Amino acid sequence: MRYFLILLHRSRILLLFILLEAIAVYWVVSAKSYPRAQFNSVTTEINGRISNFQDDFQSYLNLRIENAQLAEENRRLREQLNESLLIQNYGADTINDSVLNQRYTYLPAKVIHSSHLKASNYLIIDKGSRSGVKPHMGVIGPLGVVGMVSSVSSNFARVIPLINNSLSISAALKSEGYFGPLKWPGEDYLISQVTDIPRYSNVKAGDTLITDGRSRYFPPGISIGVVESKTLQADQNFFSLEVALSTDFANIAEVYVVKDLFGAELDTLQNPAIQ
Amino acid sequence: MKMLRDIGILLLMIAIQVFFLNEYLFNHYLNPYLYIYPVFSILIFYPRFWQLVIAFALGASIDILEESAGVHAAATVFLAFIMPMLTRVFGTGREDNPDVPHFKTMSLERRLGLLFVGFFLHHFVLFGLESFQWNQFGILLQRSLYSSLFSFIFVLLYQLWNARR
Repeated sequence: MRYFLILLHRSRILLLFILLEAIAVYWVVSAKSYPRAQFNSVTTEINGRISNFQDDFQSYLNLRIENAQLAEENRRLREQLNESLLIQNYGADTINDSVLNQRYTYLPAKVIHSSHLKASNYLIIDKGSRSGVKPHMGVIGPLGVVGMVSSVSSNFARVIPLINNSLSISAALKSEGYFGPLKWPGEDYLISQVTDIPRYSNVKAGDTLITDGRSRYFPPGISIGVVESKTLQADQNFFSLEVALSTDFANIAEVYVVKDLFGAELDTLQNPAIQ
Repeated sequence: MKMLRDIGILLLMIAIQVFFLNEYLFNHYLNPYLYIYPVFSILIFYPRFWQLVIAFALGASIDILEESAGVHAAATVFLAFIMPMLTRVFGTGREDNPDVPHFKTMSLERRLGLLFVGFFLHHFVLFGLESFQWNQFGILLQRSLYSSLFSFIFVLLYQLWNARR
C-alpha cells in the first residue's frame, strides 16, 4: 500500500495530465454525440449570458445609430397608417373588412451574437421555440431583409444571414418586377449578387431590389438592397447584378422574426408528401 | 502581487482572443491562437501541478466562450505537459545556468524555434480533435502548419520588438 502511495505521488503529474485530458476529451465527445450533449447546453447557456452582457454594452454604444434606424422605420410605418392615406371613395363602394386577413405577424428579437467576416456567417437571436420561432422563418431588420432561421433551441435561434453562401432567396426589381436568385458570393459583407435578370430589362445602378411573393418566407416589398452595377453573364442573355445590401451586418441589433400564418397551408401545396 | 498580475494577463489574453481575434479580424480557416502565449512565458514559473490546472482553465475558458467543447482545453493541457521536454530540447544553447533551461533566458533563435514547435503541436491537437477525422492526416497537417505559421508571425513580431527594446 505504501509503495502504491509512493508510486501515485511520483506519477501525480502524469495522472493529473491524463485526468484533465480525459475530462476535455469527454467534453468533446459528448458535444459531438447528439443524445448526450449536456455539456453543450451548459456552455450555450454561459455563452448566451456573456453574449447578452456584451450585447448590452454594444447596444449602449450604438444607441444613436439604432435610434436613427428605428425613427426611419417609424416614419415608413406611419406613412402606411390610414391617417396618412387619402380615401378616394365617394360613397359608391362598400368596404368589407373581412376580406383582409392577417397573413404575417412579427416577433421582435435581439441579436446577441453575430459574425460578418467569416466564410459562413451566422447570428444568434434571443427568441427560440418557446416564443414560437421555427426553422425556415424569415428574419427582417429595420433596414431590410436579414436572413432565415436555421435551427432553434428553447430560448435562442440561429439565423443564416444573407451573407452566408448557403442561403439563396428570390429578389425582384422594384421598378420592373424582374426577379432572380440572390446569393452571397463571399468576400465582402456589404455586397451580394443577383443573377438571371433578363438582358432586355432596363435595370440600372441605383434601382432597388425587394422581396416579392416568390420569396415565400418574407412579406413582399421588404428592401433587400440597391443595384451597384450590372454585368452580362456568360450566356449573354441575362444580367448579373452587384447589390449593396440594405442591412448593415456589421451593426445589427434589433430584428423581427416573420411568422407566416398561412405557411402551413402553403406547405401542403408545395410539399404534398406531408399530407 | 505577481500572481494577480499573471491572472490579469491571462484574462486579458482570453479577452483579446475571444472578443478581438476570433470576432473581428480573421476568418475561420486562418485564425491566430495567441492565448497560449502565457503557457510559454508565465506558466513556467509555477509548479507543474498548477501549470496543468491553469492551462486547463485557460483552454476551457476559450471553449466555453466559443462553444468549442473541450478542444482548446485538451490542446492547451497537452502543450503545458510537453513544455519541459520542449524547453529541454531547445534550451541547450542558453547563455546562463545550463541546469535550468529557461524560456526567457534562451537565445532569440532558440526561443523562436520553441515557440513555433509549441504552436504547431498545440494547433495539431486542436484541429485533430475539432475535425475528429484523423484519417485526413494530410489536410490536418497542412491546416496546423498554416495556422501555426500565422500565429507565429504575431509572436515573432512581438519577440523582435521586445528584443530591440
